[in-house]
Amino acid sequence: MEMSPYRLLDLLPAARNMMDYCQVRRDEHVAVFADTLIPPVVVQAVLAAVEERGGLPAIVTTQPGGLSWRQGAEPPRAYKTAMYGSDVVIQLKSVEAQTFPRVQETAMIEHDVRMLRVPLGNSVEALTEEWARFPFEVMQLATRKIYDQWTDGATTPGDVTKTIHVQADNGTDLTATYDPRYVIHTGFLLPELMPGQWNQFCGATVGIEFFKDANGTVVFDGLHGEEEYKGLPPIGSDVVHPLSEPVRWTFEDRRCRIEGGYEAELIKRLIAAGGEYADILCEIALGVNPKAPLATMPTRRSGVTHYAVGSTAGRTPTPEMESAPVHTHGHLLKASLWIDDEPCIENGRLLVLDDPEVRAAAARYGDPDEILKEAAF
Amino acid sequence: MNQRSDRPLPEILDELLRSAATTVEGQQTLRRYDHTINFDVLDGRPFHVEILGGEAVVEDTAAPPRPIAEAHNIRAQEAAFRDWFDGRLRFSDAIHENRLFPMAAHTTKRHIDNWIVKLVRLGQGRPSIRDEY
Repeated sequence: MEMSPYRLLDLLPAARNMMDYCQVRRDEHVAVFADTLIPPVVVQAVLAAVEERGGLPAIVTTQPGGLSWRQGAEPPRAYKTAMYGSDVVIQLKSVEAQTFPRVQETAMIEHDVRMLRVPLGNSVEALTEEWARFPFEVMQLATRKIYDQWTDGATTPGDVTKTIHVQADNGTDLTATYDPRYVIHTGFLLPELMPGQWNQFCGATVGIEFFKDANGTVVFDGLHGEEEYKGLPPIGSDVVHPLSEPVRWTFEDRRCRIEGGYEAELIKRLIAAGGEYADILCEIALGVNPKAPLATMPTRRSGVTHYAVGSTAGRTPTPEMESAPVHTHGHLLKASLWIDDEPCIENGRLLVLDDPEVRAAAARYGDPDEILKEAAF
Repeated sequence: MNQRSDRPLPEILDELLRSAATTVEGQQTLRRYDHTINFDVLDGRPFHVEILGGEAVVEDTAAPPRPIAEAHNIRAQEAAFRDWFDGRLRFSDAIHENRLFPMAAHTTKRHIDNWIVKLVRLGQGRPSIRDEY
């Protein structure tokens, strides 16, 4: 086993912050799911933080990486029992991929579980960095404001359509219309994580996962989120950056044409195996954390937008039944983004980070200029 | 439970929520959110429940349009709603089997899905897995 150069005390600030993100309370049963590539010192730090809050922790060790959400395997019964029987589940993961999504959904919907996902990529170092101390209160407030902008004016029942437009100097110019009921926000809607919800540690995203139309082009700086990407440089990481040449997705009536170098060829192969709906735009999203490390968590970084084709089957089922067993991602580092002509990102700056209420919330934790300033790429 | 099968869905839901409200846990759960949930029956009449301040009112009509932060829409064939209310189908299984469609993305309303699922379960008098420990 590779020894971690980090000590428990190095990791405790991040572990304590995890408790803020899932709000562990006294006497709650907390299952810590950690895959075998997570160094023991990380698990120890999380257990210590749970116990500080008065929670009752147990550890479940799982296989690393493995089964992403597009694979339909069932976990062992012990896995399910631990997940269903807990108040809070904390997942320490060496890759950013959902494991056993149906079991996780069942845990949250049927068994009142609150869930925190902590993807560590290939590096424990990330837990010692500034992004891992980003305050929950600030993250929640910023994310809720973006959600409100992206859903503004929408009602349910209702049939409101909104427009998202992304533009960048690298040739990106994409316009899509969407049903605002399908705006997602990874569990930061309320000031408290509620039963049935999950959060990504320090890594809110807001996105749309169902479109009525999409036309134009997006040009990527990087790819992420596929086991198959680990075979591309940098080897072993599911984040591919930089690309050998830009990957371009050109949409016509939501359908995607893919161009680029060998990375684009890999995406084409994934999509070719994905059936009738594999080339449909199914996600545009942005990150909220100004310090999120690009090497491991590009989708969480404020100002970075990410995109997917395929479907979110099992996550966003729609009566239109546009299910595909793929959900293939790429990301763009610096763009401008508008919702119904109202700016959300301007030249890479996530505007909500300059909102007076968000700044006031950040001021309760330190210098808001520092907390809300993006780290260099 | 089979005797419920021919009754109108709003009537069954109303009875489940009234039953849930007879327990302390049910009362606490009802007070968790103020929200309107519309049940969009693909092959039948829509109905909705408005829960405000812990009081649930079920109506056999479509809900009036509400801001989506305060309202949810769940779409399914009548049989799926009936199977869920009668305890023959888990809500989460119905989603994954493409029988039931919460009209919101995968995390946006999962706390509301969990809430109505819990209220229905309490109304059915079924224990949670945690009650078994």
